[in-house]
This record gives sequence, C-alpha cells and structure tokens, in this order.
Amino acid sequence: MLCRGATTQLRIRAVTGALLLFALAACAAPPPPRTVYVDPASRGTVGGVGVESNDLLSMTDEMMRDMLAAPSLFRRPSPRVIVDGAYFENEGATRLNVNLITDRLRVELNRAARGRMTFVGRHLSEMVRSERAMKRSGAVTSGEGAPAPAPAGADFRLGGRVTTLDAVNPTSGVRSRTHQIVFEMIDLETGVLEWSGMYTFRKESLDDVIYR
Amino acid sequence: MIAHRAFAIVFAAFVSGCIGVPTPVPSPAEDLVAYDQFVFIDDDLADGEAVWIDKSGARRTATGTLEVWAQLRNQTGEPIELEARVRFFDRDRVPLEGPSGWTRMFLTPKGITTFRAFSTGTTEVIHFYVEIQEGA
Repeated sequence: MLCRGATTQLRIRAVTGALLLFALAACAAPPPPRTVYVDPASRGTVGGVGVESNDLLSMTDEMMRDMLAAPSLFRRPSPRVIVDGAYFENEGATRLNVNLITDRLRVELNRAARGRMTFVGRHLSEMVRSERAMKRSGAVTSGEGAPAPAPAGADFRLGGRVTTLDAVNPTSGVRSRTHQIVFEMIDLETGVLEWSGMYTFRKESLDDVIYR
Repeated sequence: MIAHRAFAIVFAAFVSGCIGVPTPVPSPAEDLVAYDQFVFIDDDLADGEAVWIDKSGARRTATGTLEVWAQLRNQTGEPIELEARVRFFDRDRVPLEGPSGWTRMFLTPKGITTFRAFSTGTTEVIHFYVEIQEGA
C-alpha cells in the first residue's frame, strides 16, 4: 500500500509525462501542406521543354529594360505605343497564350516608363468606343476631361513571333526544344522596325509535362 | 520537488517553443550589401576559384538608364551554368525597383561570357548590386 505522499508524487509524474508528450506532439513539425506557393521567378518542380513562369518573367523583364534603353524609341517625347497580342503570333509547338507575354510586357513597361512612353490600350478600344458613343448621344454626361476629337493614335506597335525547333532521341526519350521569341517595335507611319529584341533558350527533358 | 521542477520546465518549454515568443530580428545592416559589386551568392562560387570576373563596370545609356556589365571567365575545364540578376538603388541606397529577372549564362570550359543588364529608371539610379549564382 502506498502512502498519500507517494500517490501525489505519482500523479504529478503522470501529469508531467502527459504534458511532456503533449508538448512534444505540439512542437513536432506540421504535416507538409498540400498546396504551396512557389517563387514564379524560380524553376518549379514541374517542368518540361515548354515556356515556364521563370522564362516568362526573365524574358519580359529583359525586353522591357532593353526597350527603355533604346534611343530609337525616344526620339519623340513620350511616344505613344501599343503593346498587345494582336500581332504577336505563336507559331511554335509549345502551347502558350501569347497574352501572357504581351500583357506582362505592357504592364511592366508602363510602370517602369513613368511617362517616358504613353500606352494606348487598343485591346480595350471597344470599351472606349462605346463610352464615347454614349457621351455624344447624351445617354451619359461628358467626363471632367476635355472631349477628344478621336481616340489616340499610336507611334509604335509591338509585333512578334514565337517559333520552336524540336528534336527527340527515340532511344533515350530525351526531348529537346529550342524557343526563339522575337519582339519588334514598328513605326506605325513608316513601317520601319525601330527596335528588335530576341529571347532564345533550349531545354532538354525526359519529363512529359502537359502545358494547359 | 523534482516532479514540480520537471513540470515547470516542460511547461516553460511548451509556452516558449510552441506558442512562440517573438524574438527580435536584427535589422539588416547597410554594410552587409556590397553596393556596386558583383557578388557570388553561392557557396560553391564564393571562393572565386571556378569563375572569375575579368572586368566589370556601369555606364549611362543614351536614354539615361544605367547599364551594368561584367565579363565572366570559367577557370575550370567543365561547362558552368550561371544566373545573375541586378537591383538598382538611388543615391541614398534606397531600392528603386524590384530585382531584374534572372539572366541565364552558359560558360564553356575556360570560356568567357558577358552579363549585361539595364535599369528601368534614369538619373535617380546611382548604385547597383548584382547577384550571381550557379544555374539550377
């Protein structure tokens, strides 16, 4: 038979042990989340021979910086430019929405240019046309700004093309794809190409990744 | 008595370790950033044995942006893949824009290549900091 003091000691030990176990369980590393955020500028774990997010970021960043350093685009103060996907073709084997490229380029360029270029949103021209028509018909009042005789024309427009070159080793199954992505800024009066940029990369992979 | 002490220790560990007592985070010292430098951020490259920077510099472009460049030399007999990016700062060393995208470079054995990057800002851009790492 145990005395009262010994019983109390045993209880305290049991509680301490339970707390220790609880503390250890609570401190153990949590299970890995099913979904994780990944730096889009880095190579992810899912990758094939196509265009990945890191390619997209590096490519648009390089082109944007190169354009801002091109004196041929800045002969006029704040030239008006159109940067959209209307004349940017994907002729390559990679499944790719070219708006990913042109949208990012336009936004990054617009933010970085800070007035050195003026951007004409030709991809939203239907919206502008509709609003102008409503203002002029009296359906809505005019805005605070002075009415313009016509929507803004542009000095330059971006054109471009994505092309690819594929090769497969039937023995090893290794696939190789070279992407050549050309960017050109054309003078909309003369047709002269005032700036050109090219981004080329080649990837080899055994992975069969599906691009959607 | 021993049991009481053990209980106190376990409880303290639980409170400090799991609930999370905020620990002061040291503020980044300005001197830690080597402004106007090309820095190998990989431990493998940091000793400067495998890749050398032959020449480097910065200059204004015709549009006023800042161009930084470096000529890199592969000292080894193996091909090396590198990535580099740049950040730009103003006179007070305040960051002006996010880092550039990583530029991938392939160095042939004993070969050289050039890294080149431009700022987006113009006259306000004074300082730069280039990070170089081994390509993944």
